Amino acid sequence: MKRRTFLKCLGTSAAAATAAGVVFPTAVGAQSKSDIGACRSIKVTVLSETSWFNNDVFKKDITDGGGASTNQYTVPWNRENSGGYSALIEVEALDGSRRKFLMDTGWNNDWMDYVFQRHGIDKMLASGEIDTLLLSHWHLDHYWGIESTLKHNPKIKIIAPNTHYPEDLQLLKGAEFKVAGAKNTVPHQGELLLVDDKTIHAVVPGLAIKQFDVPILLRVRGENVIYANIQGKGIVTITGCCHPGLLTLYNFAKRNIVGGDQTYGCYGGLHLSLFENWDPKFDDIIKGAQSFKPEKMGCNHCTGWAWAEKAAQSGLPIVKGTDTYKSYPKISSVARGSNVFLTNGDTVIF
Amino acid sequence: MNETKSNHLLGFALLLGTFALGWGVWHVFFAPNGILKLYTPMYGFALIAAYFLIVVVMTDVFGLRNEAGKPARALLLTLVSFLGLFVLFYGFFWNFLGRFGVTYFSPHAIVAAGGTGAEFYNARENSSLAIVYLAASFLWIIPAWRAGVGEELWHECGRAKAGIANFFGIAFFAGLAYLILFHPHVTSLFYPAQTFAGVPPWWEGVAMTASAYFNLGWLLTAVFLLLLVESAWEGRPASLLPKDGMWTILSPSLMLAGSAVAGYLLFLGMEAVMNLFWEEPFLGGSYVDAPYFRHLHVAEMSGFFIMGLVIWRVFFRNAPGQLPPMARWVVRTLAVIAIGLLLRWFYYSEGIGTAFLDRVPGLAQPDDTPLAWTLMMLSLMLVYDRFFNAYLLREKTR
Ligand SMILES: [Fe+2]
Ligand SMILES: [Fe+2]
Repeated sequence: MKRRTFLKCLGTSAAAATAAGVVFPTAVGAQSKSDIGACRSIKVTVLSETSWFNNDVFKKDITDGGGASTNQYTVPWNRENSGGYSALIEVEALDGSRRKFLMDTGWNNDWMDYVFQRHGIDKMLASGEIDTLLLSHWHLDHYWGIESTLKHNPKIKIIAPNTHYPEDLQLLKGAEFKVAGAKNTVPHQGELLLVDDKTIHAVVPGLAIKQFDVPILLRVRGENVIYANIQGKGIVTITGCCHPGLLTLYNFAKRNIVGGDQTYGCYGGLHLSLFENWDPKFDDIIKGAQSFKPEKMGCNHCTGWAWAEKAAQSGLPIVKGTDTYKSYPKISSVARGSNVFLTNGDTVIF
Repeated sequence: MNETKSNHLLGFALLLGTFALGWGVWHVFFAPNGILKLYTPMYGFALIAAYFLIVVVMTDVFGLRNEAGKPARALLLTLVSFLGLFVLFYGFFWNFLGRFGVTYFSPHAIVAAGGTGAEFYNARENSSLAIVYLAASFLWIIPAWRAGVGEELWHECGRAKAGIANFFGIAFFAGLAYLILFHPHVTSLFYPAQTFAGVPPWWEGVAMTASAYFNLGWLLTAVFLLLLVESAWEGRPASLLPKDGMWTILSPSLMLAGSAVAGYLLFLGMEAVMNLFWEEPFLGGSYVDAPYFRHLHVAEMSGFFIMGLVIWRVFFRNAPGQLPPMARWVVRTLAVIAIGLLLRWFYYSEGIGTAFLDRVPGLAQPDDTPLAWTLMMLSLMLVYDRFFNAYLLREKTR
């Protein structure tokens, strides 16, 4: 008997024997699948994926600040080292019309101002061409640069996970956290749509948001994941850090989204070897990913160059980036010639 | 109210006191937003595991206890255990073994070796994981050895000599267990994997992960079963094994093999129960979908059950004392399981345990394991039980 079959049999008999239902929460069950519609294509422009430029400095800040679960608002972060994570998402509908969304707003305001100006995001925000900010999660490198967005349009609609802490909302309303170096002087005046982890939130046909309420680094919890359904191709996940885990996201789509059994690709940070270290579980993900047969994997940020290189060597379809990032005023200390990252200034079309 | 009942009430009060003390210790030393913030997580976890091991070695291997309950001896033993932690952790691992033998036991040696990702924080987390694994190996061998050898081996030489002799026997098997069960995980923590120093994880096929949490899972389950036998079942069936002649080595070997098999079966059972709630894990899944988390969670559950066992023995005098043997064993086993499940509920409950321990709410966080808190509480309870002879509680029963 195979181990899995054996486990299943054991499980069935244990079901009768156990009364531990109160102790283990039930997983999202097998409800009927959600239809998120479809779009023709999606283009992602990497505005900035360099949340910090020197890993060692960032890691030292975490160490000195109390380790993985410490509160990000109490750590005296090195201001010179901060950059930010942000991407422009352009959705082409089935009728050919296009809509633009801003995903995440970075960390360091000076850096984000430069990035937004370089890509014309400032004007798109001011003109209303971009009217919605999709905040993936409340991590400093995705959120603390909020002023750079709000100063061009304080009324912008924000869709974010409902797993915020009081400090997060204070910053949104205008506040300064001196020790941590987080500041926003432009209070948000628009709609704030907080997504819970129960429902799949439709944005436009072919684009939906699902929140995964998982505990993550630096006391943060919960991440909004963008699911895109590309007509004839399949599901693409677009993530900030992908804290819930890429294959868990694919698996969720399989179980819960119409057409979810066809995986097409991914874009974003994948939260793997973010400190260019290794762990056997990264190998698990390389091996496990192959069974989902993705066709286009664009990754950067907390994916880690080490993981992306090993994944590419193992035959996963990692989309190569260009050297455009070198024309930015700062570059990451871990960037390598292998170009396995879609990095600053690169684009990918799904 | 009869004497037993009032003693249980006192025991319960002292247990609450231990929780309060645990809260204090956790917040001073470990909590992420506390004072020293050592729970990074692996660094604090390793310190706790090493300390727990020292207390277990002192009391279970060298028999350094304080049955007379003398305050001076209690303080001395506690002091020795703390000194032992410093010597073992920073002296032996960081500055001796790590510098002159196995790089990964010392963060300084890892950083000195250079290469990608070799900075202090990460290096310290990695060396800490190795220390946790080594401690786990000892924590399995010690009760198996004790159950197999009993007081038989070298006991005529006196406590110190017998302790030393037993320690070397234990260390031999623990070292071997570590090398086979855990070392291949630690050598995979580097990029590229150190395949000339350790084989690629050989358990991958059956475990659905390259992580040695698989071995940690069944190993701690085995520890739980060994302690259950010793404490709740009054040594049965281990005490039935002959101890003389060739049995001196056969019995502990049988205990090791037997506990591994029994531990593995219980491990499979616990994973089957998890499958009911979270569906099947799959290769490369994360959080509750991750096979390595399921394995780790078995270890964590075993930690809760071991804590239940110790709570029942120390604070509730391993009740009931009067019933026939079989009934006693059943009642104790049920009590231990109930306390273990209660502790699990406490740890993950958002309002209570999560706030109490300064955790991020939620399950399966890669940077959190209840084992750290469990082992810290177990250390406090063992120190109270064996160094302080269950002060207030045991005195009153005499
Ligand atoms: Fe990030
Ligand atoms: Fe993040």
